[in-house]
Amino acid sequence: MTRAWIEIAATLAMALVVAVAIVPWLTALLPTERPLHGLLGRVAGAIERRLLGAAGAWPARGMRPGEYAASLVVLHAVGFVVLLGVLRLQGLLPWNPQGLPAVPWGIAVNTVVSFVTNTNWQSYAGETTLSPFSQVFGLTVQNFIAPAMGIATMFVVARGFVLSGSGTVGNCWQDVVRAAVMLLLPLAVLLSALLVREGAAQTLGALSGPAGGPVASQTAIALVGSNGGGYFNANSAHPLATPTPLANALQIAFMLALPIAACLAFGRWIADRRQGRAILLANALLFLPPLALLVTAETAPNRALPAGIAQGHDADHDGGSLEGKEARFGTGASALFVAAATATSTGAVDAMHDSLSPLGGFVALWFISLGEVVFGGVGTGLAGLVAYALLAVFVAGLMVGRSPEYLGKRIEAREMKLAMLALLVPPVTTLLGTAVAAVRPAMAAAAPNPGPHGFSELLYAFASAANNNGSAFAGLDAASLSWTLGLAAAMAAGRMATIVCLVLLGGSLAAKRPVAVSSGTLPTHGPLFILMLAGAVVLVGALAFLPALALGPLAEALEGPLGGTR
Amino acid sequence: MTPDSADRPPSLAGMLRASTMLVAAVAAMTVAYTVAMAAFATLAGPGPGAVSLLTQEAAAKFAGEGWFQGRPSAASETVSGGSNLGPSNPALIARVERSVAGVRADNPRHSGPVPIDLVTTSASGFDPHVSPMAARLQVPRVATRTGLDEATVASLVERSIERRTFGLFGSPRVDVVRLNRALSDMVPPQRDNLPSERR
Repeated sequence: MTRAWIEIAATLAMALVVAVAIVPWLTALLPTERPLHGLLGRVAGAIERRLLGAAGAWPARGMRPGEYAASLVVLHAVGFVVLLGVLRLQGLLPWNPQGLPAVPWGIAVNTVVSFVTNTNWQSYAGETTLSPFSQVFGLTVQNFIAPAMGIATMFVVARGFVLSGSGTVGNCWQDVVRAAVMLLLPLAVLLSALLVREGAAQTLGALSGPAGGPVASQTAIALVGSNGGGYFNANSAHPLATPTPLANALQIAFMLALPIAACLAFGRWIADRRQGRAILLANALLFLPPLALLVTAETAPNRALPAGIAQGHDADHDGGSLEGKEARFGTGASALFVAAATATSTGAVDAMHDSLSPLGGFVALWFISLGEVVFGGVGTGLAGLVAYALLAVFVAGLMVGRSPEYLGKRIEAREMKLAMLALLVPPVTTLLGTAVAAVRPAMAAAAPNPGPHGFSELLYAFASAANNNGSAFAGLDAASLSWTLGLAAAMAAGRMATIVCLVLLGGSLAAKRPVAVSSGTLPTHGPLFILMLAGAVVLVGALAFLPALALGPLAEALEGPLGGTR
Repeated sequence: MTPDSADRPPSLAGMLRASTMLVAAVAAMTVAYTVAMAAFATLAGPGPGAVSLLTQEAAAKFAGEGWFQGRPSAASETVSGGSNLGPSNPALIARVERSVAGVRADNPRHSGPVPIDLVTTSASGFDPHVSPMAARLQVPRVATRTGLDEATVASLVERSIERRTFGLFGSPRVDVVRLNRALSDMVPPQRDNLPSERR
């Protein structure tokens, strides 16, 4: 299977190249006190002025953290109302060649919360539920705004270290416009163009349903913005969304590029590139070993299947666990897509996660359960990992009896409370939701697979919702009202807690004055800290989820082939 | 940072106005983006038909022993998707066993192991590809049923194999929809034993 590893290495290298290319531009978007430079900067500045002027927000003034957080909440709320309107009025709106009726209430509320919170859980089949109008004017709009709000959150956390003694943390509207128009849009255009060249569908006419529609444009922004909501039920597995293996590799690269670039840009923002590289290395440390496990598990034969089936890999047959996977990608590249889409909060799929091997499903669940900080969602991933960095220096400070500090800012009770709230609300929501689903027969019955795999389906659904990932063990029949509304509540709780706490955390840090580096300062760019940061993430994840994971995928893996199910 | 927020107190009305304008502006941008990419697809895309889909319609058209068979599908006529069966689900194992028996019955001259792609459903349910191994084992049957020379059919299969991109990305594969179309061009229409193409 050396070949698969080379393919994976090449794809990751592609992601790194795209990331490095983005870094200078992303770095320039954070400071708002001086206009963007260069020709591109002047054009972008003019767009920004006009847009913010129309919104009554020009000149952009600094907002206090509370106002910034409230603005984000209001933007979520307005997005909710608009999108709900689009879905409920679908039957009356134009560009509806199949004559689809209004989306039913439960699924509409679930879908709206899902797309507004950058989760993109899909409790519907795109082909038969949504008109092209709803996809473009409804979902794709949120595919830009939701990640832009995540990037704005990251900007605030970064300013926590850039600013000192500041009562304000930047302007929410300006940050969202910069993220959506100047960062996400160009990347989405580039990826769409590449996908179209590979053969992905992008049509406007009456064609829709399984035959096509504006597929490439929606797929591209769904991946660039770690949204993940596909045009089709089969998401990126559909040949019209991902026609070739190269299109698959490009999607993986663009999914990872922005979260990687954010780590490096963070180092530039705080004028210490070593810190950005340290965060990137911690991410790599958290990403690569589970990826290796996932790829090994998926390229191996499924031993539960009867004998007499060729499952190996040779020149004219690429085997492995192919149930729920596309023959053109092969099992190795499919596994990399699974890892990238669950580690980042994208949640797109090019293979059906429900049919992953037990250990493969374990890795997917593990990445999601870590709170979408291993690369994570665009913006929110880095911001969440910084919260983990605070936890790491806090624990280190306790060990040696020194007051903790990170990047020159002293970490005190308020910062720790906000960081822990942001990190703990999603796991608590996940476990509570799963517990409720498991004890309520009507909800538990939604899992179609027997035994531990059925429990994994319940756990996966709430982990995916509360951490705003959006992928699924898709066999779960989550169309009943208790499921749609339960998952909607989990998505909203996870998103709001994360965003509000992280913005307030950034504000709290921005108000502080830096402390001088002394011999007692823990260096946060060396191998020791990288290990501590990765360790903090793994520890919190393991403490919260190992008992639940043991009941689901681990039990299934230990059960062995053809072991007694149910 | 620009002037302080203290000079103008935050108001819910202001936030609502800014949010609404922002959503409207992004909606306009999204439409422009979607239309621009569609224009690009018309100008620079490979054109319609570049991507095969093994839909139910295509599968029905090429049903029967005279055609190359693709992977089983869990998709419906309109909705793409996989079986979502867990790897050790008895239902999956039973289904695979049936598929293996079916492949062996259809292709009695094939005695080796049955390639996994031919007995598993894909993620999309419209996957048009099978492995070269899966296409080759169908050659004797297709040749017999169409009356074509076995070497001719075999060389058609070999010519249809798509290699890895840059020798690196993806799996070697054969697009059965395209292969069957090429086959239908070769079958002399006056022969009695040719497979009927149902439209």
